[in-house]
This record gives sequence, structure tokens and C-alpha cells, in this order.
Amino acid sequence: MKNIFLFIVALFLVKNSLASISAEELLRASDQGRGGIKSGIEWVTEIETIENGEKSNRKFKVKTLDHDAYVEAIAPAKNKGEVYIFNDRNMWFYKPSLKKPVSISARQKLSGQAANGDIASTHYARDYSAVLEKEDSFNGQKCFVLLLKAKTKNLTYDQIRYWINAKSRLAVKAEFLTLQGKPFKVGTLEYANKFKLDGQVIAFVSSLTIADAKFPENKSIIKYSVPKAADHSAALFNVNNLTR
Amino acid sequence: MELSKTMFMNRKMLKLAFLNLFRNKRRSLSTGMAICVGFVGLNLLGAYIYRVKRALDTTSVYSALRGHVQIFKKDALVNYAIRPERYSLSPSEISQVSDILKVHASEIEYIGRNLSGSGLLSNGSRSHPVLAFSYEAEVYARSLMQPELLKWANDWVLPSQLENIDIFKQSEDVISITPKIADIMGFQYPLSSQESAQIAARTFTGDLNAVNVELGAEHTTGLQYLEDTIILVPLKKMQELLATENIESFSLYLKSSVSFTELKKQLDRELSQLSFPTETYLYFDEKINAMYVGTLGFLIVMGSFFVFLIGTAVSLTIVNSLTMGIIERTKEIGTLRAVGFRQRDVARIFVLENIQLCLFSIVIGIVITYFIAFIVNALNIQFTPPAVSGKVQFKLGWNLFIAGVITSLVLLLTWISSIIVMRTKLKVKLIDLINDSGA
Repeated sequence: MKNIFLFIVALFLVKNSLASISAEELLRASDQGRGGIKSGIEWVTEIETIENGEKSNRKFKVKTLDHDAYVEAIAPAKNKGEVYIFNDRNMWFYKPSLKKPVSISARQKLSGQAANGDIASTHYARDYSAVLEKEDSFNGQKCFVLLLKAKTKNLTYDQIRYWINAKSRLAVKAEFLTLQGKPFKVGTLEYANKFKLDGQVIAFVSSLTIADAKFPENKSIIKYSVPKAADHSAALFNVNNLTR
Repeated sequence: MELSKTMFMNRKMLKLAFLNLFRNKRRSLSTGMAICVGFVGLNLLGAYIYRVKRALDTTSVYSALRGHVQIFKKDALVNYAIRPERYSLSPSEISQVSDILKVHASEIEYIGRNLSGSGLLSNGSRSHPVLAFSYEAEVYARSLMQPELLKWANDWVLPSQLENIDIFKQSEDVISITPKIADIMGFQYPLSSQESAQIAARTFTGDLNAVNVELGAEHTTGLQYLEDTIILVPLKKMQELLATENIESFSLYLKSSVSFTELKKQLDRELSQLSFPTETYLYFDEKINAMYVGTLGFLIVMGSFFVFLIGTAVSLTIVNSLTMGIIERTKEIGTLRAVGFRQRDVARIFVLENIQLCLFSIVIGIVITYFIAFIVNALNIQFTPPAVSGKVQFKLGWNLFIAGVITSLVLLLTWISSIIVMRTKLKVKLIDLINDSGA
């Protein structure tokens, strides 16, 4: 009797452990489609923001290497030359007229473009622990729904509910949750881009639409184009080099 | 003939009442002391509340750069933070408002223009979230030098603020931070020796922007919960940071003889003729100064409670003393009535006796209050009121106006207490009064 009980407990633990591993693996795989790759890559991003009826457009060139990113504003002309550097989880803002770069805190990231930058962050496997919550369908396709919980306190969102396509292993929908667990922003993703890395074709995000959960008319549409593998020097991501 | 007879009688009654005070010296002394202590207590309480009110008035108007009257675009208080472009005053709107204000030049001492926003103060290695308020060098200097501010709220003006008062006129890049922000950011003193800092904020159009600023000045908000948050930035620098030429509000600093409420009414009428809607607020309006209303409201409730307690104690002492006096002097009252004194005349003697005792107590109370206030102010006792940053002097702002109000209150209380006792106790028949043994 005792042995049967131990066997059942062991089975239960193994089942949970497998589920946990697969959730983490799913998350890692989905990160790849949004730029979460160790090798250097680059792409161009166009952000169209509609907030309280006012529309704005911005264009950035993004260069990444592992956990670092160098984002340079290329349009509109008034923002040209502005640079955002992401070192791991830290974000820096710099423009040529500044004597020193400015580090942007998590609190500031909650507003405007910076918040979208945070949502568009590519390394969820690094920042969040994942639990397989349920299976669901999105756009008629089977999806795994993961509940992501922040590993550290300095992340903008404590929890994310994340839909990953069961077949492609790519994230297709995300709900960014408040501390009370209610959706704050909702994002949907499309993958029309492809690029080659080490002879392998990788599907890459082409569009991310982020809408305010309460006021869906307030939204940002982020379009990704010309993704490609690239060799980036580590010095590019060193914030100290910005002022030299 | 009749008039001179009445005056003669009144003088006699006054003298009789005065002499009666010395018949039971111990009771008169204890009653007088109770009135005196109550009077002094009420004066000191009034002096403290008055001092706090004046400090709140002057800090709200001058330290916080609100002015006596503020002009905003309609609904800006709620919506400016969300949609700053729409709820701020554009250059053409500024010009229209300025034209109206020119008409009131004789009532306005000076005018300030304001702009605010949340952002990050950065030292190149780390950032700290701040609320940035704009200032104009001339307005800031004039506000800090206001005698009223230095008299009532000198605890909320740092010595360095007065020493460096011209620093803003020398450079349009200098910002003012609080000592707590300097500590958090690791800025060393003197602040002017520091390398430049940066402020980042979201512009009116939603872009992230940052500007270089110089350190050199410091200020205090006077409030613990704001001390790590508020920085003062020159208006032009603030406009550069927020990428706008707009302003959030006008602050009108009025001449002392001007009625705030009257001018506000006039301005409301005139501003309503403009093509865009505006709102005006007095510095003590809860919508722009909840701290003022809350603090003063609390003090007034607390003060009223103490007035009630002290007033009741004084009143009961008078009632007790008077009742004892009537019981002791029942036979005498009967004799007075028998020789022709009316019941009203007898009552008047007793009331006058108490009024005279009250007046003596008040005179002594005024002298005692003056000395206590003088000694307390001279001792420079420091304490930390709730929510206030740093220590402030326990100061009493006593004056003759407060004394006059409290004198009227205590006299009224004495008169009412005496009348009530006399009405209830002197209804005894004349024969019973004469036959009374006095026991």
C-alpha cells in the first residue's frame, strides 16, 4: 500500500516537472522568433502609436547581440541620432546634445514608447518563469497558454499570459497583467519575416499590435522589417562609448 | 434728572459689586484663576493655530510659487498630466490672458508662469524619478524675499536659498534640488562643483526627451513625502525638455490691499469672454491645495474641541461660584429686595461682580500670555510636526486681535453663565429670603 502511494506521488512529481520543463522550452523557442538569439542580428522597426486620437510614427534600427540591444532612431528627423541601449535589463537613452546618457527606470518605462520597448523585449525566458496554464485556440490554431511570472521585481509587468502556437512554437498573443492579474495591455503577433542564421531559416516577427485593455483605441502597431544576421562588436553596446 | 439718578444707581451697583468681590476672597481668587487659566489656554491655542495658518498661507503662495490666484485652462487639473498639449496654454492663449492681466496691473504685484511634468533626474550612472516644476528667476527671487514668508515660514526656506538667490539669474541651466535628492543621487556639496546632470521626460507629443542641467541650488518642500520628489527647473529649460512653448498656468501674486476673492470674481468674468475656457483658483482652494485645507481643517476641529472643553470648565466654575455666593447671601438678597431693590437690580449686582472678576482675570491673562509667548518664541523650541520634513520652531503668533476675540468669548460666557444662574436662583419669595438662616 505504502509503495503504491509513493509511486503515485512520484508520478505526480514527474508529471509536473515535465510540464514545467516544456513550458520553459516553449518560452525559449518563442523568444527566438522575436529576436531572442545569442548571435548578432539586426532589423528595422516602425512604430505607429495612436494615443487619445493623436497619431505618431517613429522608425528605429535595432541591433542585438545576446541580451544587449542598440536601438537608433532614424525617423522622424527631429529624433534622428537618439539612441537607446539595452544592457541586460538596464535601458539607457542618449542623444548627441546630452553630456551623459540617462538610465531609464522601470517606473518610467510604463509610459509611451519606452513601455512598448519593454513589451517588445525579446528575452522572456530570461526574465520570467513559465507555467503551462491551459490549452486554447487562437485564430483557429491550437495554442499553449503560459502564465509568466517575473523573476525580478524591476520588471514593468509582474505577470504575462502568453499564447504560443503549438505547431510553430511562436508566441501569437500576450496579455500584460496588472498586479491584480487583470489585463493592462494586449499584444498580438504575426510572423511574415524570415532570415537565415547558420544555414537555418528562422521565422521572425513582422508585426506586433499592442492595445490598451481598457481603451483599445489607444494602441501601438510595431512593424518589423529586413531582419538579418549581423556581426556586432560588443563595444557597440557599451554605454560608456556613447559619449566618446 | 431721571438719567442722573440711573447713572448714580449704576455707579453704586458697580461699586457694590466690586466690594462684594472681596467678601469671599478665596472663592473670588479661585474663580478668577480658573477664568485666567482658561483665557491663557485659549490664547495660546489661538496663537498656535494662527501661526500655522500664516505659515501655510505664505508657503502656499510664495514657496510653492502658486501665487494668490492661479489661472489654468478648464479641466487642466485633471487632464493636464494625460493630455498636456490640449490642457496647457499656447503662446496665443498666453498673450490673450496677459492682455486681461494688464488691466489689473495696479492690483497685481507680479506674475509667474508655470509648467510641470514628471521625469527622471540622472547623474550619468543612475536615475531618480522626480516631479519637475518650473520657475522664473525673477519670480522665484521675489517670492523668496517676501517679508511675510521670512516671518512666518523661515523654517521652510533654507539659508542657502537666500545666499544663492542670484544663481538663477546667472545661468538658465541651473536647477534646484532638495537635500534629500542630493543625498539619494550622491551629489556632493557644494552642488555647483558637480558635473552636469540630465533630466529625462516624456514630451507633450509623447517622445522621450532629455536635457542637460547644472546643479547649484537647493530648496525644501517642507513636506516629508515630497522631499525626495520635487525639483525646480527654469521655465525655458522645462519648455525645452517637454518640447513645447506652452505653459500650464499663471500665478498671480497680489498686493496686500487687494481682495483675492473679489479679483478672482472679476477675472472669472473677464476670462469667460476668451475663445477658450479657463479656470481660476485661490491658493487655499482644496482642488489645488488639499494640504492647506486638510491641515487647517484638522487644527480648527482640534481647536474647537479645546474651546468647548475650556469654555465648559470656565462656565461651570462661574456657575458654581455664583450659586455658592447666592446661597451664602440669601438673607442679604432678601434685605436688598425689602429696601426696594428689584429682582433685576439684585441680579445685575451679581452679574457685574462676575464681569468685573472676569475682566481682572483677562487683564492678568493677557500679561501672562504675552510673557509665555515671548519666552516660548525666545527659547526656539524645535519639533517635527507630522509629515513635515525636518524640525521647525514651535512659534506662537499671538497678537491683540486673538486676545480681543477670546476676551469677547470669555466675557460672553461669563455673562451667559451668570444670567442663567441668577434666573434660576432668584425666583424665591421675598419672605423666604428674609427668613433664610443662610445655612
